[in-house]
This record gives sequence, C-alpha cells and structure tokens, in this order.
Amino acid sequence: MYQLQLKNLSKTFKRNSKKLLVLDNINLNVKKSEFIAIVGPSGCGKTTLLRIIMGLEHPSKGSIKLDDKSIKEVSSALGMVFQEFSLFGWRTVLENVTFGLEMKKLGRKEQMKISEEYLKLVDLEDFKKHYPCELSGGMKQRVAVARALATNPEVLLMDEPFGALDEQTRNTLQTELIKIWKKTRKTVIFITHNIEEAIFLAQRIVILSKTPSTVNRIIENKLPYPRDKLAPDFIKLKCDITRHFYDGKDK
Amino acid sequence: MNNLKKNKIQIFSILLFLFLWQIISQYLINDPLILPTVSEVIKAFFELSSDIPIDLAVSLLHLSTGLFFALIIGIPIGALMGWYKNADQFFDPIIEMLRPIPPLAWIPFAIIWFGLSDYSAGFIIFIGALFPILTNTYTGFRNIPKRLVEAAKVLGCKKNINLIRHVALPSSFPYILSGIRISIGIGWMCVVAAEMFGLDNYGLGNVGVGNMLWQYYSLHMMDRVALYMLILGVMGLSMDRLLKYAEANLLKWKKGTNIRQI
Repeated sequence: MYQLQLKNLSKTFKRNSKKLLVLDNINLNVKKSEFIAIVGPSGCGKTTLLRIIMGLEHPSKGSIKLDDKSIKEVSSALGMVFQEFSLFGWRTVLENVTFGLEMKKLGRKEQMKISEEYLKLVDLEDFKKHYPCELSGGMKQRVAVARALATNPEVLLMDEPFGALDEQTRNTLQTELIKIWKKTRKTVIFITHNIEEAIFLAQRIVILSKTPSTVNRIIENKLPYPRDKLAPDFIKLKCDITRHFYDGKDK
Repeated sequence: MNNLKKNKIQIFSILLFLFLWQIISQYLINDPLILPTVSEVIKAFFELSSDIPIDLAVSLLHLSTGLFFALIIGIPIGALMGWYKNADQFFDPIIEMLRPIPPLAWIPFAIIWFGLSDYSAGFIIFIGALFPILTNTYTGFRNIPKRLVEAAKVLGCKKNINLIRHVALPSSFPYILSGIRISIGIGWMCVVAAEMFGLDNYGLGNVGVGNMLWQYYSLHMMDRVALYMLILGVMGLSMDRLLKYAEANLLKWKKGTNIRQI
C-alpha cells in the first residue's frame, strides 16, 4: 500500500578517520500521489536523505523500497529538482527538457511533443529557445521542474528548489507547484527549511531533529488546498510546528 | 569609446609606427642590412606577391597538421586525466616531464624520424600546440560542476562515456576553445623554427613563410626577411581575431564571455 518505504536508514560519513553519524534510523512510508515535506534545521542531513533516496549516495544501513523493489542506484522511476545551478548552460530551455528523453532514446518528434507539453505546464513555451543564462532564477527552476517531469518519474524529489528565490517568486512557484502536482498526481518529496513553505505545500510534514537526524515528528496537514498563508488555521499550525521545530533543535 | 574613435586611434598608432621606422632606418641607420626601410619592405612585397600565397598555404598546412594531431591526442588525454583519477596519476608525471622541453629541442629527432618533410615541420608544431590543448581540456574537465553530472545521472545519463559526451565535453568546451586559441598562437610561433631546416616536397624549391625567412637571411636580403616577419605577425593576429570571433559566437550560452576585444 505504500509506494516508497524508507526502513532504518542510517548514514555515517567518515572524515579523517572520524565517524560522523548524520542520519540515525530514519523510517518513512510514502503513499502514491502524496505530497511530503521534510523540514529540519540546516545541516541536519535533509539533503543527504534525499540524495540517498535518489541513489546518488548509499545508506550505511537500512533500505529504500519503491513499490516493494529496493533501490540501490539512480533509477528512472525517481526525478529530482536541485536547489539551483543544475541546468545545462550550453543547452537551450527546450534542449534541457529533452535531455532525459534523449537518454531514453525516444524519437525526435516524441521528444518535442513531450517537452513542449511540459514547458507549457510551467508556462515557459515562449522561452524554449533561450539559454539558461538569459533566464531569471524562478524561470530556471521552472525549467528544472519541467525537465524532471518530462521523463515521467513516479516520485519527484525536490531539494529546496525555491530556497534561492525571492519571496514573491517563491510564492508564485509554490502555487504553481500545487497546480502541477494536482494535475500530474506525482508523489512529491519536498525538502525545505521554511516551515511556512512546508505547510503551504504538503499533506504530511516530516520534522527532522538536529544531527544525527531522526524523525522527530510527522504532522498531518489537513488544511484544504489552495491554502492561504494568512488564514488563522494556517498560522496556528505554523505556530505549533515552529514550537516542535525549535524543540527538536534544542534537544 | 565609440568604434570610429577607437579605429582612428589604432590607425594612427600603426601609421606612427611605420613613420618612425622609416625615419630611423632612412636617416639614422641608413643601412638596409641592419634595418631595411618601410619602402624597401613594401617594394619587396610587390616583388614577391606571387610567392607569398604559396608560402602561406604551405605554412598553414604545417600548422594545421600539427594542430590536428594536437587536437586528436591532446583532447582525449586531457579528458581522461580530468575524468579518471587513475589516468591523471598515470599521465601526469610523463606530461610534466615532457612539457618543459622546448618544441625546438625536438628538431633533431623530428628530422631523424620524419626526414626533411612536411611531417617533421608538422611534428614541431604539434609539440608546441599539444600541451595548451591538453592542459586546458584537463582544467575544463576538473571544473565541471558536480551538480551537472548528478543532474545528468538523475535524468538517465549514467555511463561514463555518455556523461563525458553529454556533460563533460560541452561543459568544458570554453576551456578547450581557449586552449586551441593558445595552441594556434604557439604553433604559429613554431612555424619559423619548424621550417628552418628547409624542405622541398613540391618541386617548388623552398617554400613556407618560416623557410623563406631563413632563405632570405642567408642571402642577406633583410627587406625580405622583415617582410616575412610582418606576414607572420599579421597572420598570427588575424587567426587570433578570427578565433576570438568564433569563440564569442560558439559560446553565446556563456554569460560574461569576453566579446569586448572583437
């Protein structure tokens, strides 16, 4: 019944014969089409956790299962949007989106059809011939989203994708992301250090503790979409979580 | 500064240079062996105007031979060294040992291996052009943002060969291009030395810019020597400008590419 299962995940980094435990026994089950946000103090290993799920790093202990099959390396069933600077600068917007499809060896026509569809989804069809250096930060991240979705992964992993953007752009992209999620019904795991962002987006919020990270608490967020950041319920939830969040940090 | 004004200053600077040269050679030195006058060089140019295109063609052939081999050997080795740590450690000592040897020191072996042929001239130019291309490719590969490699992996580009082709090579293309530009500069400088020993493969007698320069030196026709020197300078300059222009066009995707100098 769960699409993605993380079981007893631990990660130890070795540096100069010193061992540093970053993730300590993380368990998480994710349902299909669920929107999960993972929050935690900076440096707590959120990104490491996401990279392990993606297969870019290996866990020291534990396992990851997608539809009951364990993931040991990078899999096309998972897509990822990085924090920033992940676009191929020498490729146009369109060519960035076709990259994954070229790797899948799809025909040229099909590549174009799919890419244009996703560029339309992120509202960038007018910029398909531009190079990334000609785009604003928000537009770049939209391209990154379109590129990740184009290969049709089952789960979309997002590593603080809007972290480097200004407030206004971030708000717009958050709203758009919800629309895209509703439309595509992808499972999303979204990492952020911004509690408000997590409440605005996610159905469940996983709060990690300070290093070594454990799952401090998982909070169900039943607020109806589209959410209003200024609604009393929203603010109340934000206060509750902020308390837990800082509790976790102080322990 | 607008273009017209800039051009005016540049033209003035060239005219002033020629004027001073003429004055000094004509009135101060007054000995064509020590310093021929500008007018003598111009006269030489008209006398030799039918030879010069052939000399240029032959020299460019030597240059492109050397450059071609420098590219097909330098880029793969630089790429391997930049991508694989083992290859880096394997090639590095050899390259660091060979690199300081001046290209001219290879002339004796070039003659032994290739005879007095276009190949030996090409070989000297190859030696001069190889290392800038190799080290620039290496630097380009070492500077590939790790995130781009990961982004490609996530999108299904997993094999090393594909990562090199689709990410590493295009990402380090700016480095490789500037390596090529440096190589052409150095290669062109090597032309004189590479053609010094003379060759006669075409039944045309002595040909090649560097070769002719030496020929006329041995005849003490210094106006012609100066003419060929100027040809070397002008050709080097035009090739450099052409490459900068090509670079700016090929690297449109890169912000901050230096286009000011065109």
